[in-house]
Amino acid sequence: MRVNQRPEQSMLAARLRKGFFVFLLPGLYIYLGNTQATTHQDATQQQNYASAQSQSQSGQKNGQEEYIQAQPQPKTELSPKRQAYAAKVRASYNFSVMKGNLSLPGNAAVEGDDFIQPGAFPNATYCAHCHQEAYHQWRQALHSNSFRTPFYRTSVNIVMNTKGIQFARHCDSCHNPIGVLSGGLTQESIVDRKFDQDGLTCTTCHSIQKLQSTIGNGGYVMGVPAVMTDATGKRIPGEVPYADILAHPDWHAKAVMQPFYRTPEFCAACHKANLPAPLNGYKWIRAFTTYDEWQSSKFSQRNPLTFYTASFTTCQGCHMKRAANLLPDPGAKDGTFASHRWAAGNTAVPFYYGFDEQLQKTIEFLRSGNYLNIDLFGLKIAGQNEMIAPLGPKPFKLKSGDVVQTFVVIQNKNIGHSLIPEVRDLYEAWVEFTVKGGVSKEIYHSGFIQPDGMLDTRAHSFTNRPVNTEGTFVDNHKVWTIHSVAYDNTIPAGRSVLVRYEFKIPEEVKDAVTITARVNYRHLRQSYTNNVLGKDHPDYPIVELAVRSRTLKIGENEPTQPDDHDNPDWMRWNNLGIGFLDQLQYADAIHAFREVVKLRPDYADGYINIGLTNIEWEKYSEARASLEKALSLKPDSARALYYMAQVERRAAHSDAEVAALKRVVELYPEARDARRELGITYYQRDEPKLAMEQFEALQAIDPDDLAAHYNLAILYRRAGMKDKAKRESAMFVTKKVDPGAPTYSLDFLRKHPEISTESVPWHMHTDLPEGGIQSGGQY
Amino acid sequence: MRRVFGLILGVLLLTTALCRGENCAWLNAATAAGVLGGHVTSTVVHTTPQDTTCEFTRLQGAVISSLQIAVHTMTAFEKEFPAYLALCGTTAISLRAVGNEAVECTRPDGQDVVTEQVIGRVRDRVFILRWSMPKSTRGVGVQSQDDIRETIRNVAEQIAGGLF
Repeated sequence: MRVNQRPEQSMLAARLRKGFFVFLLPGLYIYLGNTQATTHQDATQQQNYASAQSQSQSGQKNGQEEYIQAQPQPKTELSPKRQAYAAKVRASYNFSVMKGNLSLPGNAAVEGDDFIQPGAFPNATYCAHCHQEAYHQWRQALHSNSFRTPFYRTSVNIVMNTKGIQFARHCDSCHNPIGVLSGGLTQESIVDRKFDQDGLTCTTCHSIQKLQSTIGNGGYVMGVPAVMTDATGKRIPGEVPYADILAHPDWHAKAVMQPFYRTPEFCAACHKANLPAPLNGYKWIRAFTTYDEWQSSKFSQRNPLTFYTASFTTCQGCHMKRAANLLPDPGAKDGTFASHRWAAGNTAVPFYYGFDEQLQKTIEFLRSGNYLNIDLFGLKIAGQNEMIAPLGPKPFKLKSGDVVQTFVVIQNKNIGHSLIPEVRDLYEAWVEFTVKGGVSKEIYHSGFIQPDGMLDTRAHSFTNRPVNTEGTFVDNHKVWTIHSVAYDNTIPAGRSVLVRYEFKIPEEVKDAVTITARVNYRHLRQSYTNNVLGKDHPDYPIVELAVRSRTLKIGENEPTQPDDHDNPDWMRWNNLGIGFLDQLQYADAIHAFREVVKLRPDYADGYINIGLTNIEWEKYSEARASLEKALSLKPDSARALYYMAQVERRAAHSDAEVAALKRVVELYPEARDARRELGITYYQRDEPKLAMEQFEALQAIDPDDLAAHYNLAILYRRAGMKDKAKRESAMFVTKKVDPGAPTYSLDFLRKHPEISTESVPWHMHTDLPEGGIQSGGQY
Repeated sequence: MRRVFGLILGVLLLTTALCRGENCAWLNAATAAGVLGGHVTSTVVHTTPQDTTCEFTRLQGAVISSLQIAVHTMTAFEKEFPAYLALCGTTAISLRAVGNEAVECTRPDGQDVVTEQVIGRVRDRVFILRWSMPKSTRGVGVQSQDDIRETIRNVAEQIAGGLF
């Protein structure tokens, strides 16, 4: 089997473009994903770049403070017991990462800013006395096993054995907070590590008192654990008799619950990670940011630029759904309890531990929710110029010997983050595409599992490929060696991808062929599981997330009825358009979006999609016409206004640009793209105070936004705020993309021709003999 | 299998280099102290460059209890590991999710001493964990048989975790 690329596309240009696209990493990746056509820095800003860079370099020389995102906690009076404990730990603690900092290169912080004895955390069995359902669920969930699993230990051991245990604080700020905050992660540890088996125990999450914005890497502030307050609301540290809790359940609730526990920002403390310079000795690199993906999704209702809309749903809304409790638990309300299983994609861990109930619930979760839609959208027959689409309502004719290209559109329909999220170098989701004819005869198969358990190397997978300075895939999750990402084919929330397969119907097939596309998921790549357990492990679960089949008759094919899960035709065209747009096929995207508005002339977003495609294509007058039509249908559409502002900018209609963007931020105060663009607009208009306000607001939404760092560095400096300017400069320099890094990606792609085309937006999967794609032409 | 273990001990005796002050790579002294119930002394012996045996000992008057952890790298684990497993004999209880595989058993160790033992494997490395205590203290106080089993399982899990 081989993968071909569309011949007319420039390989180098496409690679460079894609390399740039993916290496910008999520913060900026999302920005580009939302199809903004502008760059962050105008010419004036570019001129100021050298000055900002020089500032930050001097900041670097002055000390590491410039690079620390975690908020230092005030030193407060400690209990005598804690004071004595902390002094003992400090005497031998390895502060080599940064003097006085307990958790760097992680961001975990604790009230009082000193070590806390592990015994201060009541253990889970203490809580289980009453909270039986919570304990039962938690014990099988990934949170309770966050440290001890072999899949984690293998990775963190490499950090400890190659860089030193002090660097494990980066990982363990989330995987083992008690280990970090008790001072256990040091060469001469005096800490009894019996708590390791409980990972994120009840009193870690339920003791967090506040959050450090959304910087991730353990961006929380741990309080001294307490399960009760007194009548005045003062927290009483440690365990108390159960009778006291039962006598004052409201005081218990006050101690262990905080309103922010129900927010996505709480999850962001750990479900957002970066690789900071103190860890990799290189520069800040975004690792993953599930929180920002959610924030950019339709479920947050904070981003006006999503293709579709949905009800507001938090992380907890999907991953902590209420269900009837089977065991007694005072935390239950009306017979239901917020799940402490956090069902998600973690199948390997329950499989290893034999937590069959958790595994079953996880698989049910993955298959529920209408998360993905697979659309066998259309066919392109070699020698014919027109696409047969959409399959279903359109009749068509097929014959033996035809070379057929299948357009498979896969929509990330209802996941509040990308498919797949987080550690994309370990998780694995892919398309398995089969063509069968005659009596179960396999004509084509992509995305199969090889006898050694490895995935077909040419499968279309929703993963990424981080590489090191040798241009080698970082297979062992040695994240501190990552310098670039060769490609990232995950599907952002709400978007769709178009995957193309070409096959030939054998002459001997006379009746029909059946085409099937499924999206499969495996928690961990086989090579990673092999790294962890050796090759003699049992087969870990592969879960089919979604599937769609169609039978294509040889001869005449009459229209067929849609399946229950099929999208309506206008949405099918819309998703195809999104797929074309992300593959930089602008003419095809516009054609698809035009089909949308033919089917739904009242659908403003269809016109907006035409408009944004034209903006990407730098056809601003055409974009204006479509956006005006959208605004005539929906005058207060923030999405249309946002793109119209882009058009007004190109036309030098600055007042109109400001008016449009101001309206967007009125409607969506947390619209990061609109804040950024409005800041740039004000900057260009020489209105520094207003610009500063926008960039500060942007930074409150996303503390890692590169444009905010850059522009604030300049604006602060001009306003005489030198310290703040220095900090922003330093942050910009460490977070900006290293322009030399994509060369490592190119090295990797050169070494791996079997998957190098995966980095190209437009590519074909086929096993037909060499000689080029036969089903080309339009589309 | 006794021969294999005897061989290891022989190598230990021949190459003994008691590295006082060196930390055990598989378990820290504080955790061992938590298991044994108080202050421990420790020794670390390198049997090969990558393999070590650690011993934590607690003296409480005349009563001695200890934790011994021996790690050995196998050249062909499929052939060698069954011999290690045989150290536990037929009374072995299989432990799920400790390394790649592990068993636990109780064995008498002389007249007055009883030893809880876990033999496990992480890829091509075997570990043998022995928790020896006087019969007189076993089951006394807070430590029931179930507690002991749970404790040694958790220690074994920590050791396996370090070997991954």
